[in-house]
Amino acid sequence: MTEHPPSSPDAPLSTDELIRAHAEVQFAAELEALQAQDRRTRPEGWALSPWAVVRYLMGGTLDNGALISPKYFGAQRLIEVAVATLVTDRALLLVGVPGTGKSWVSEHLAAAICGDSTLLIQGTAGMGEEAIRYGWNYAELLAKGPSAQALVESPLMRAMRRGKIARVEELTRIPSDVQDTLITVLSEKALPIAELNMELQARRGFNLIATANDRDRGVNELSSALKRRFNTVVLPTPSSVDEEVMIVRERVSSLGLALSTPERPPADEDIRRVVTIFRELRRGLTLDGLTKLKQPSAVLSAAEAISVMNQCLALSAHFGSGEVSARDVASALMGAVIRDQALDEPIWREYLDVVMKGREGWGDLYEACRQELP
Amino acid sequence: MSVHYLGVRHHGPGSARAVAQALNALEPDCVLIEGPPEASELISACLREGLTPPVSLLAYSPKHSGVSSFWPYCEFSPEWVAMRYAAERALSCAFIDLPVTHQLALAIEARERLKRDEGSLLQASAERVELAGAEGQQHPRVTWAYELRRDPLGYLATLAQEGALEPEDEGGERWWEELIEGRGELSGEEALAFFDSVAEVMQVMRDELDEVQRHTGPLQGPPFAGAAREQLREASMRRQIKKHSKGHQRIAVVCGAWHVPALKAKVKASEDGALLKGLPKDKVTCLWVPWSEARLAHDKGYAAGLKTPAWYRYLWRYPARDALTERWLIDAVRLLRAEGFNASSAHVIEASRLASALASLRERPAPDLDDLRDALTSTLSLKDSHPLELIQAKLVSGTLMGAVPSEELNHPIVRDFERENKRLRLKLSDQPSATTFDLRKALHQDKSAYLYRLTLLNIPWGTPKVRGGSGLKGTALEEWTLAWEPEWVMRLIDAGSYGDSVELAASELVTQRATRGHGRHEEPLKAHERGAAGGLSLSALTALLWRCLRAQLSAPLPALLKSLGDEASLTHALDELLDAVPELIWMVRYQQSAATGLALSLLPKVTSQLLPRIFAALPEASVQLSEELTLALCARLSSLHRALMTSGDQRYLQAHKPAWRACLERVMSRAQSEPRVRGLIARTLFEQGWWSAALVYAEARVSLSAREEPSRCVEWLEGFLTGGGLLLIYHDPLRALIDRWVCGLSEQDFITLLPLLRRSFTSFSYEENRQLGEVLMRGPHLSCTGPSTSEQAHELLIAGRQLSPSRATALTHATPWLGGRALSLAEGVEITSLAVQEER
Repeated sequence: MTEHPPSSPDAPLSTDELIRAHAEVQFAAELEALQAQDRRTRPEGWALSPWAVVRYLMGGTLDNGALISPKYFGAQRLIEVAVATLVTDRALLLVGVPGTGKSWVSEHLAAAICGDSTLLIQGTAGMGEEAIRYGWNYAELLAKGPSAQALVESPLMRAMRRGKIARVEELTRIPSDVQDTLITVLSEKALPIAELNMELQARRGFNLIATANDRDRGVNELSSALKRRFNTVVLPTPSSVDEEVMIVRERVSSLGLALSTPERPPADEDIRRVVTIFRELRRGLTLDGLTKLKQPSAVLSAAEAISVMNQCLALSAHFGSGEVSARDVASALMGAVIRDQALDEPIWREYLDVVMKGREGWGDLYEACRQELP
Repeated sequence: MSVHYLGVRHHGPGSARAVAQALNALEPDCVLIEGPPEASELISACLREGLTPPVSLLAYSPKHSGVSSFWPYCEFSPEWVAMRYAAERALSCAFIDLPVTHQLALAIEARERLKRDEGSLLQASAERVELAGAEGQQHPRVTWAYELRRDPLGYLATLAQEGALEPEDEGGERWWEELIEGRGELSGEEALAFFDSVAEVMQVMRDELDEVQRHTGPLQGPPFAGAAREQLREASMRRQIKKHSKGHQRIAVVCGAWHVPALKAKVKASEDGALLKGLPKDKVTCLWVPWSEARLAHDKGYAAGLKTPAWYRYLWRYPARDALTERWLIDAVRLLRAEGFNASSAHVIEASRLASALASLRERPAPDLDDLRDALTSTLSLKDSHPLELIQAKLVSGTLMGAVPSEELNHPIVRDFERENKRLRLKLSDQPSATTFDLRKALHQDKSAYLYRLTLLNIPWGTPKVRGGSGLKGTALEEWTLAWEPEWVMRLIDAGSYGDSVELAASELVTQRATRGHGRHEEPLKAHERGAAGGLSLSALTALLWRCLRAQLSAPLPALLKSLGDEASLTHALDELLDAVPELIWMVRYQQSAATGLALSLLPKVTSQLLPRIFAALPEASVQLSEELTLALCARLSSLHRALMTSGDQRYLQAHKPAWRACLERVMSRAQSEPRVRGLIARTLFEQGWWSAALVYAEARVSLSAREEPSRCVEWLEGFLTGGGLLLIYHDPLRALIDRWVCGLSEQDFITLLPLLRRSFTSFSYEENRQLGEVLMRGPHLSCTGPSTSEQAHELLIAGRQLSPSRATALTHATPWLGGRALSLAEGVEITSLAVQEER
């Protein structure tokens, strides 16, 4: 780790001082390398050809020897469909349970296609139309009346003006009537501004990536009119233990740097154990398919496993020997699995005694987990 | 004279298009096709109206049942295209494969050998294991040779793309499809050049194989298993090409690409002659039979499997890829719309744009099946698997059924089959469909009988829905599920050896089964399946008789009934007799209205012979039985009694009723008879009015007397209470007797017997229990047993709830009697202990 001289709080931050840099910043070198050797035709407004975008997400070695790290571990098919969708003028809807990498994929797609992943609208239950369309600078509005100067553009509007990719997170959390604001934008590629009797037409290259969670209760289903403007790509949970272990390892080591925890990666064996526990609890079935299990209320996705491993690293670095111990894993695990004390604790106890206790080589983890329990 | 070899992939639409173009360019005067030579004269039939692919050539041995071969063709089979080309121009055209007469004979020999050598099979498999072990340390070229022989195209694909293919099984297929099958129209010259290069590449591959085998000797193992047969086939093809070359100028040979190098090779006629000399022969008949896409996709019964027949049909019908994409998506969307999905033309447009974008992203010249599927899934936002399965079934695998005019199906029974189908308005389809027949309508009755006849011939086209019980009683409605398998045509032809129509064949087969136990062409019965007379067992004969009646076959009835009578007189198994007789009695009833009724005048006679045997054996058979056997016997007795009594309108049975009563009384007169059986019979005699209440009361008093073991009493009671508690409600003395018995049990006995007692009491309906409870509360005997007032009963419920929540409540609810006794036993503690006892 490199030490930085403390800078004044108001000075612009360097990349190293950020907790987390945007994708286009963090992977600027890879994007540059891809751009340098990309000879294929690029759709208007795109920084890379569709082929290169897929390569950026899936990783690989380029002809000129540059190494592209994989961003998405899963079927290339899905990324191909996603990129091809954005080539046509349909918008892309990424669907999946929490932690399957929807936002992650969306951010990287935007970064690779237009070099800007920041045109982001976070969907919430209480949001109004102005968050999607535009708001007003009321001081200006009162002083001079409606004018282009008084207009406060939304990220969507900026994306349209500049021909970039806009991102909407958690589309289904947005109230239905507000969602439908998107219909005009997606079908007409234009945003009417009735107050000024004008409209903003989108520049070529504009498109929209939305993510939606199909697990939450109380989601606002898309109207079929809106649904028709989207192509859907369902991101699944990792298909095998090995795949999931790989995802967790990759992300933990890269996050480890960002979170200034020691650079000693956790042992594969620990990752494998956590991933195994998560997969079993997620499916409600042991990996050998012999024992049925109760499922806890938390969604135990790969993303959760990543944060558990990170927590282990932090625990061991700051409070332990620096080496990840079973105790670190146990306490991090418990925090992830038991979200609702009354509901999840019995499930976790049952898992410990039914599955973990008898498993060979898991004795230390079992003991540690038992001790963590009150 | 020139010979042109068109090496194709069987069922390849691209190959088929190339064949069509090449033939147009060549204008041959003779077309030779890889196929069964015996069927050459059937080629011209491919133009006939009503012969629509998928169809298959069938060659079978009339002498040996079950030996047959199929050569299926669809509209995009290169062979089919070549046949039609030749037939349209009336060119000389022939099949040139190894004659089926040898192929079938070889197959029969192999089958015989297999039967003979069953013992040495173990050894053979051991050798195979050894071989597999040796394969481990082979020279890479040998490993490749295996790979090459297993899947030549896959091998090529790996070479062509340096193994860059996705690790999927169909890697080779996909590559070939993109390169060959999926491409549009070729010009004549292009097509000819294409066949030249195919021949060339096959030559290289076969040379490599020969080269390897020169070092290793002939390779063994699965991919090489057919090597000897392949040699024969290729020799035969060479010989026939030579034969046809006399008198023709330009000959086009359409055969599998793999064979081209061998057919081109210069081999002396005498060598081929020596190889083909002395092959075994068998008589062969060939005909066209209908086939289906589903069957093509299943890869059953012949070598060249095809995963996606419907997709290939699209490839064939729409050579322009844009048109193909549009058409396939439109059909998919229409299909989904019919299933209630929200799918519009706009979706087709979006899906086709996405598919094109995907194809270019994946660097394919045009969208292939994967792209189309992905595009459709994404645009329609299909999340569950049902719509995708639907598309897979209809638009990828396909559901098309071929047809063959009945004149072509050159076998009397097949023609009869077609006629009957037309008459009965039944359509062949391999998609299961449900239908209901109303047996009061003549046509429906015929349909039902027809399907039963086919089932007798091992052609289970229709499956009747089995209702609970024997299926003998019930309504005039029959529910059937119909699903036809194209290969059953073969079974039909097999059946043709028994008779020239479905009815005659079924009659003859049933007669043979009835007299000898099995049909002439069927496997003989195993020893344990044989009945006492050496033929079918009594239950099998009864079942056969039943199916025969349903099939409205009267001809086999005399033989069947005779065997039934013989078997019945020889068998010692009372169970079988007891099972058979009620069935027979029901059959007589059932048949009174049906066409075979006349022949059934014999059935009462058989039944009349069987009944005395039962009457004689029953008393002896009701002693010393295990609980399981006792229960089974009780069930059989009940069903026989029901059959005898409810068929009161049949005169022949009247005579047996007194004998039945006497038989039952004889069982009762034996003290050793099982108490459960006694209880049941006592009840039966009483209900029938054959025994007075006083007699039954006496019997009950004896059976429930204090000197009897309590457990035997309970068994008696259970037998007696079979069939409901109504009797106890209205028969005061009996109720009082049982009441007294329940009250008189010692506490210990009561607790021990409680579960058993509960079982018999809870078999009553709720209504019966309620009434019984009321009667008991009112009754004079209640003072000693149960709650005398409704308040008391209510208290009991509350007490029960407090003491042992659900269980005591359930107890009192279900059987007021026992609950009352429980309360009279103790103030609470006992109820808990009862509950515990019960739980145990």
